[in-house]
Amino acid sequence: MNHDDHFENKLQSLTRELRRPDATAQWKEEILARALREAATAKVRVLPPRWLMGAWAGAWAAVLVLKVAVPQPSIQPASSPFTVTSAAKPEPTTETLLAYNRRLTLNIDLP
Amino acid sequence: MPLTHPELERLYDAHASGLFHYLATFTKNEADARDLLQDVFIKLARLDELDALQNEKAFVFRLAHNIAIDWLRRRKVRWDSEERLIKELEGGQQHASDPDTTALSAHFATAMQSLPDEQRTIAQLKLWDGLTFEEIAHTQNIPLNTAASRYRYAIDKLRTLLRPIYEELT
Repeated sequence: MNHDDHFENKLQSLTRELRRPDATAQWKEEILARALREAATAKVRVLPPRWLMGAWAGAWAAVLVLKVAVPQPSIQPASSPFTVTSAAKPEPTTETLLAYNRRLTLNIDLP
Repeated sequence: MPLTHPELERLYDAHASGLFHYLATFTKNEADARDLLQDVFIKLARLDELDALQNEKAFVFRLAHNIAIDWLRRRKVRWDSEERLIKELEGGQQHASDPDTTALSAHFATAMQSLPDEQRTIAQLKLWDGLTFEEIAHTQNIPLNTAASRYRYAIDKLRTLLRPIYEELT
């Protein structure tokens, strides 16, 4: 076991002897600047993803186009006499029709 | 509130070198390792606070490990290519003080190449970056025993490979 420890210690000492090529110091400013910039951008960003905004805008455009292109059914104003009459006038009863018929018959001058 | 520039700079000074070499064991080239190092620091910059972390070193290495694994999944990197840089990284420039140590260092670097990736990354974290088994287990999201056993396999293999020259020199 001591032999193992000695071997491992030797390996660790070799790692200290071996200097690995290391350019990280040269990249430091650039990496930190970009990291901080992107972190700030992520915090400020409140808009949804671009594809979602595009789909949303497209949907609204389609709604507007359809609204303009498709003819609307003509709607009578609520104050139209026809509408009011047809909507409010009750169905004539049999007695009413017979009375009306009698009046017509009486008013007509038959030859 | 994201980390300030001085906080991020301290993290960089403390860990960038180790993180870069750890990432390079995955990417096997400097450019990709640098890009991943950038990603690590972008994520670190977005952290709200660092004080709550129990183990900063294990945290940043785990973050780097996860980024490297994601990168591997995207790239499906060819493990058998671009070995040049990793040899440089692990072999390093020879700064040993005497010829014997220089020779042993060269053999050590070559022996590291022969380790399976799962053992080499753990050997690197332990020998170069000084992480404990607990920290390595946390970094790689593996059980503590697995981290220890992989390290033990790595050391056994290094011992076998280096024994001739090691016994000759000691």
